[in-house]
Amino acid sequence: MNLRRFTAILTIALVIILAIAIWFFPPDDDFRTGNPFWNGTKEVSANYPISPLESLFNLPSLPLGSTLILIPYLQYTPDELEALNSFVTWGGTLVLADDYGYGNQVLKYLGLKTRFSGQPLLDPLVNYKNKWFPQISHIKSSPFTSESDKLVFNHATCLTNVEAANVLARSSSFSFLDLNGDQTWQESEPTGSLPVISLHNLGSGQILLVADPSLFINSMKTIEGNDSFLQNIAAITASELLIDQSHLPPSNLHQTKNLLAKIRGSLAIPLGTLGLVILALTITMMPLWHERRRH
Amino acid sequence: MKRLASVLSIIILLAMFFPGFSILARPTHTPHENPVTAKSALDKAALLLSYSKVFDLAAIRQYQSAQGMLNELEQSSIPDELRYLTDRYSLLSSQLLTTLNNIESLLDEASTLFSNDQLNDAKEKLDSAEATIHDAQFLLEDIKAATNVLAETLGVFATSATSQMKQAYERLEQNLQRLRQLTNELHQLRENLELNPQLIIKTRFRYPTFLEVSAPQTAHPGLPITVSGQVSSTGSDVSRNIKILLDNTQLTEETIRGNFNLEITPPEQTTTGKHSLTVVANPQGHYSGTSKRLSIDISKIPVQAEIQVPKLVIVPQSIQVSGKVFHKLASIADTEVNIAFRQSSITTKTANDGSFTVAVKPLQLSMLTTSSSNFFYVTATTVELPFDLSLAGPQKLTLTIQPIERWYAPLQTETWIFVINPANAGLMLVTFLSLGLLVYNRTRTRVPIPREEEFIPQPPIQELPPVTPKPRPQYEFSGIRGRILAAYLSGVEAVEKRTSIPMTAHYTFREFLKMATHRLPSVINPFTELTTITEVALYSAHRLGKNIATRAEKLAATIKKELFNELA
Repeated sequence: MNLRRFTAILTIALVIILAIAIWFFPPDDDFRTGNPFWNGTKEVSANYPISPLESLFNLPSLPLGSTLILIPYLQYTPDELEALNSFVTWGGTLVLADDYGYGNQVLKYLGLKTRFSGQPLLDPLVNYKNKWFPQISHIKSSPFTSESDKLVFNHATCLTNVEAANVLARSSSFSFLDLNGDQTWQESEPTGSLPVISLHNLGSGQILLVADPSLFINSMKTIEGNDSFLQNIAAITASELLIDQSHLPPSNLHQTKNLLAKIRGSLAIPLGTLGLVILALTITMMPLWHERRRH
Repeated sequence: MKRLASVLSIIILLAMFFPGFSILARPTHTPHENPVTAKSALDKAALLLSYSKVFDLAAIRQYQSAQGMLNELEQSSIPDELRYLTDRYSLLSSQLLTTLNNIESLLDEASTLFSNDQLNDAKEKLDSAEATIHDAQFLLEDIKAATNVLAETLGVFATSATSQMKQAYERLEQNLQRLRQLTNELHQLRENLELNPQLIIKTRFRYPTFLEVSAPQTAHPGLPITVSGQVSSTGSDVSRNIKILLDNTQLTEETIRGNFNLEITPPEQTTTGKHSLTVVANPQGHYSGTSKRLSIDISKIPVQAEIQVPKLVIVPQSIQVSGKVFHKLASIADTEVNIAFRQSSITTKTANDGSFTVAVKPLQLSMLTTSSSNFFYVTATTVELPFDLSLAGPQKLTLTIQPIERWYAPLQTETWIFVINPANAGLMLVTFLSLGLLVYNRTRTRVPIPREEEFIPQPPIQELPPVTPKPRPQYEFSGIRGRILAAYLSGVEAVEKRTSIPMTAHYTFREFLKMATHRLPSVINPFTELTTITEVALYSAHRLGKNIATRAEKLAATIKKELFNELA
């Protein structure tokens, strides 16, 4: 066996082994519905009838009774924003959960004055384990907050420019917004009970703003009343409950998985299958043709 | 090779840099950390600052807000070793807030009594205020001592003057000093009131409000329920404004005094499930506001139905469907009942006693409905039944009840009817019989022709022409080696005759052995041994014994014998 042939066989073998490993290894990206680890949403998806949404253009045409959970970690195109606007205007419920992402781009397009602060909300006293896990106990009763008297956030932010009537939950009086990133409260930094969840009506639908998307990850589900909050979102959904996956930053593993899925998809069509059969036959018959040519 | 090396280098470089590109798309801050592995940590400076904020509010006479902050502190994640100390500190602070509130309340009452010329009562109140001010001063001393203990436990004094903890401690001290000033101001106010009873004083105290509420645990959309309770506070009953909210929707607002019984109706569009019922007593004058939240289960009343349908129907016989719609308490009148059979449906309404009757005539394309309350009232509905080839089998009849009232839950029930279609059955029987007859006739008229067996001529077995080995020159062998060679030649001659393979000059011993034994398996062992002995005799320097020569001769004889036996 010459070096060239050895390298070719080794490369093909490696590619096949890697492809199999990548195909079967679960995704580890934040908020992915297939991710069973602490930062995924697989457990949440398993407990509630949540379907992953791979494109905002696949939103239901009759959104009344449907709920979309949106985690805006990537920018939106004008068409996508319009799709969201139609979804809410025609009766859908949009749960916009953001901390440091592009939630304000959506809010601006939808014409709401409320904004995500984008700065870390820290609570040095009323928290779960440490200041990065503020405990939310000022909760106004609503269908979304029923049975959840306490929520725990994880590296959250707060809402600004929100009317008191729209606020559903506030942080404790000891929480503050860490504007300069020194993790301690300074005189100039907003403190006190800061709004973290608010509900707004838009057209026939409504928008629930949550200042922390981490509420939905597997490891946060069982802490305090977080599970009840999810349960309430599921309960108010008469039709489809969707979680957008198209605006989460894709990891290399995710991109490779997508590539493999595309390859698999293209091979599943008749033309692809035919091509694969021809390729397999060609590879199998090649030694025989070489042998014949030699003779 | 050079090309391979450069391609591999490019791939490795890309693999090194490519994973870094995805970081550019990620948010600026860490979106979360694993709560399981997160480390617990208490911010000691923040703890001191929190008490400082409480006293800050108290110093501006916002006792209720300060008390709210103290209540929140109870939920703080403070380690057990500090918990006792902070609990005691919070208790002392709470007592101080109540005391300051009481001082203002007593001064206010004294002022009112003075204005009503009730001088003795007013004097009594002023004395009580004096005593309460003393209590406040004692409490402040206790808090001062507790602050030192807390600061020492937290290690404030071991830190530098510029440290956050030290700054928080100094802030706390400053606010305690402001509270001392407030106590002195209240003392001064009391003395002024004593000297000048006509003085109008401004107070900011609040009487606490107590609210008791009871409501049914379940309610139905559109059906009223009664929420009852009592609002009370220190002093005599006053008129209070009460609001009742279901989640964040206000259902009623009334002004009541003491006990109340308010009727509320959950909106018809309320979704089923757990909801919150909140009763709010708004703040009023010196009376603080309060609220009570109850959990209420909004559900729809389940509807039941009794249906009578025949178990077996022979088409075109009509299907009589009758029944009664009711719930656990009474029958439901004027409710829509939809009956779906195959792909058609018909709708009727229940009578006053909840009963209904429907006659379904399959394949006749019409349905009659009658109301049991008025049997003269009949409606005829035309239904397009699809062409059906079924012969017999169970068919599903679905009954859907959709009550007009939103507090009833819709009901859908299914029942199976065995339907026989004699027309289709007859048609199919005739078809199969005709086909059967046709096949039978065809098979009878054709006589089967026996097939001749094909004979494949076998090629004649070609016998190998007998080969006469060329005459070998006669050698004279002598000695042991000679005897062995003579024995080998004797064996070879026998093999040549039997196999027709001549041992020509270009064959080695082994080659001949291989060819010969391939055709003569019976002599494999003796001929192989004889060949080996011959090779040893010819080429080996080993000295040969007589017994080897004898063995070679024996082997040659064995070969001849075996081959002779085979021929025989």
